[in-house]
Amino acid sequence: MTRGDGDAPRRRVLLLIASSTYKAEDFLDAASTLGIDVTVGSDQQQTLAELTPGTSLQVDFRELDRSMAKVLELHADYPFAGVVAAEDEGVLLAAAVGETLGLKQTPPEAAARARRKDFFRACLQVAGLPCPPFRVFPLDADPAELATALSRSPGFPCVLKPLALSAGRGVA
Amino acid sequence: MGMIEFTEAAKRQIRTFIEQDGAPDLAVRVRVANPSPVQPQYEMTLIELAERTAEDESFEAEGIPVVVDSESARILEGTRVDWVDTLQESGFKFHNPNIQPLGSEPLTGPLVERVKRVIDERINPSVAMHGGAVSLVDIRDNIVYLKMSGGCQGCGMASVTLTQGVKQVLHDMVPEIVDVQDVTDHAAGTDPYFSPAK
Repeated sequence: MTRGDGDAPRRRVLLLIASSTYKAEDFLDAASTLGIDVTVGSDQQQTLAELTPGTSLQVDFRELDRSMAKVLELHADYPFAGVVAAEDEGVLLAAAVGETLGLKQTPPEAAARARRKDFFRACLQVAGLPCPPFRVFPLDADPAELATALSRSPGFPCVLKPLALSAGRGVA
Repeated sequence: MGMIEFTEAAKRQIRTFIEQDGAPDLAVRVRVANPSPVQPQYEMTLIELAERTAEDESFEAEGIPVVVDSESARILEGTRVDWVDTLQESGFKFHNPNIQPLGSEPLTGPLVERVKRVIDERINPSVAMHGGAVSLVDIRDNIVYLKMSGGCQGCGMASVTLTQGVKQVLHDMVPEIVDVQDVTDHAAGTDPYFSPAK
């Protein structure tokens, strides 16, 4: 762990970001302002990773167990005081890491529900909270059948969304 | 003549602002808000003359009282202030000979050579694997200014490469470097290795 000018050890945060991110600079600037060291966990290898151990980690957001093992291995040498997911791709891993390391994080079950739009809406309905009508279609649905189904209740107009992703990505 | 020269257009505009304000005994305070060579920032505000402090320097520009704090005065010596009003921009424009644009002087000296060597021998071979490159633009006050090109220009992970990679390597290899700043026009990148999703 690197140290600042004072005696207090600097804290390190695991920042999970997708390689398609547009948020990396803002998060890294914030960490710099707060005097926090960062390890960037991403789905692609960083170009200078071999020269700068501890600053980055390649993970697979879909392979939680394998990624968790890599996180724990790095944590032994570079202890994490926090974990943050910049996009929804990383929230499940962030929740799992938080639970395993005893860090403040969203519980994994809540993260799993919140990440899937259909699960989340179902939770809203069960809780009796306002929620727009929705239906789930498979990726390979026949467009003609889909249009026919949509022409009935709840019908048009409607918004077509992927089950995951945030910030309007994949929305039509 | 004071440390700052105002063009006729600038003086005309200042007089207009003073007239619009209407208060008596007004002066123009000129301040260097940020002397960064990347994007220097200046402030001009109307103050009452009584607000002057003992540390301020003051002079008159054809009847317009001008007040400048001592630190700004040092940086503003020889500056020409103009007023521009076009479709693209409107405001006071500073031409400051003390803040030279980055890269305006030849890059020489032992520190430059050491930084270049680290970039050429340590950083660029790795960055090249993503079709990118890093080049030294300038070093001022032990701050390294660099540009990223190729796959790095416009890449969503460019700031990660800079903060987690380039800065760390330069700090390790050239400890007297206090900061590394990226002055790349990332919006102009045409072939980013990782395209940002938005």
